[in-house]
Amino acid sequence: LKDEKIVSLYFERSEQAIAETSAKYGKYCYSIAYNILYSDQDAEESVNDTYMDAWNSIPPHRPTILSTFLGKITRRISIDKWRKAHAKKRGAGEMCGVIDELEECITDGESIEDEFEKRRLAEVISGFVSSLQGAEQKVFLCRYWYMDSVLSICKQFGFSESKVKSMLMRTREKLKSILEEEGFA
Amino acid sequence: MKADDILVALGEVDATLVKSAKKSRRSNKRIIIALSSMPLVL
Repeated sequence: LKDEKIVSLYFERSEQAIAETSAKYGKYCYSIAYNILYSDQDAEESVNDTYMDAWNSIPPHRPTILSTFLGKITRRISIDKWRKAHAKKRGAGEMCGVIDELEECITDGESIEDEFEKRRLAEVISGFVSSLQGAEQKVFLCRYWYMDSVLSICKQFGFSESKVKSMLMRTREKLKSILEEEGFA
Repeated sequence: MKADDILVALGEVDATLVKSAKKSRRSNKRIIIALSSMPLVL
């Protein structure tokens, strides 16, 4: 079913919308959730919560890219779940590696609580990602948006492990410098 | 700032860029499949 039709089903408040979303994007959302949570049960819960969130936000919202709209919800729900579960201990999965890598970009250990600062950080990071070109941008998003493993990125792009690691390291160095300029690190 | 603040902020990246990162993964796979099915001419 085309995305426009699925979105129409949400607007008609037809429960078929959930079934069609699950059939078309269930695996996509599950892979995002699993990369973050590394647990079948938690990933399935996140995907179900994604459908509920989508049901509650469409309408009034009409997503232009349904896949990314759903993926973004899954990612947010899964990161929240991960944060709650790992407030004290570290767990398995890609998240620990991703967090360790991103810690290279920061110096302060306090969470940003201020909504204005959160929005400003999101703008700075969006601008940074938009400024990246070609494979550098895609590899960065695969690692830090989709939380794909380095090995999986190597397979997807046909790059060696050392190439992917060095690309990511250079991009993190650029990010660190931007964050410093903007007063975040 | 904590590292997961960066992850949360990344959630706001433009949807077309996020989709494009995924798209290239599919097209790479298609190219590999197409190449593997091509006859080898010596």
